[in-house]
Amino acid sequence: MPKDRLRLTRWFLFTIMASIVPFVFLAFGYRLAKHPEHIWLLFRKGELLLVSFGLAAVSIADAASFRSKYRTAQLWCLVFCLFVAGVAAVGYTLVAVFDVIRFEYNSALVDFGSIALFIMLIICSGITAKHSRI
Amino acid sequence: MILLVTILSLALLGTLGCIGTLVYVNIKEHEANQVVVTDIRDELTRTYWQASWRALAEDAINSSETYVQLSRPYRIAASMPSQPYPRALASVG
Repeated sequence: MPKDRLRLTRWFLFTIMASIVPFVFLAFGYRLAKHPEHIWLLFRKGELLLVSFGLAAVSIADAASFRSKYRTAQLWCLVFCLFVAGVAAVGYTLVAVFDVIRFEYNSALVDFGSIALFIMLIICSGITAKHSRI
Repeated sequence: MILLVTILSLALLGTLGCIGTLVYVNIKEHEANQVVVTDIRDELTRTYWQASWRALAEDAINSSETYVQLSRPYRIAASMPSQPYPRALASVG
């Protein structure tokens, strides 16, 4: 297996899978305790976005520590990743505020938005982490 | 709701930018690898021809020395090297 693919696989296993483990345990806990709320309600509160900020921060720190051969592309990637993280932070603020101010919102769109932002931040983090070792 | 859609669109743009940098770097890496492979092929071809011609030349020199030594062994033998030239490629010639 090529070195960069091995590194990406390792990153996926030990970063992404590890970050999802708490949600898996929580889902089992909800089921065992017969909790009235569904696990999807957590996504509506933006919990996934909190996890994705951690992932983005790790990748950004990784890329900032190592100089890539293509420094300009690496810096652009860092800027894009920071931009997506910032946008996701604004999204998290909105999602968190919706409940407090009793704002009428489409819950399905918020669920979808949370998951979409999480996936987009994962993609950005993966690319940023890959950039750091090219 | 418009705010959320705007946020999602902006995040999508950022993600596409990230993917764009990855594609750019991959293209550059691919080009760099192709240049290296071409250089290696040229270098190997040049080395092969140099070795072949050198082996042929050494073979010719060794043959002429042997001819001279056999034809006039007493006068020429003192001025000739006692060992033949080493062969660059054993398989050639």
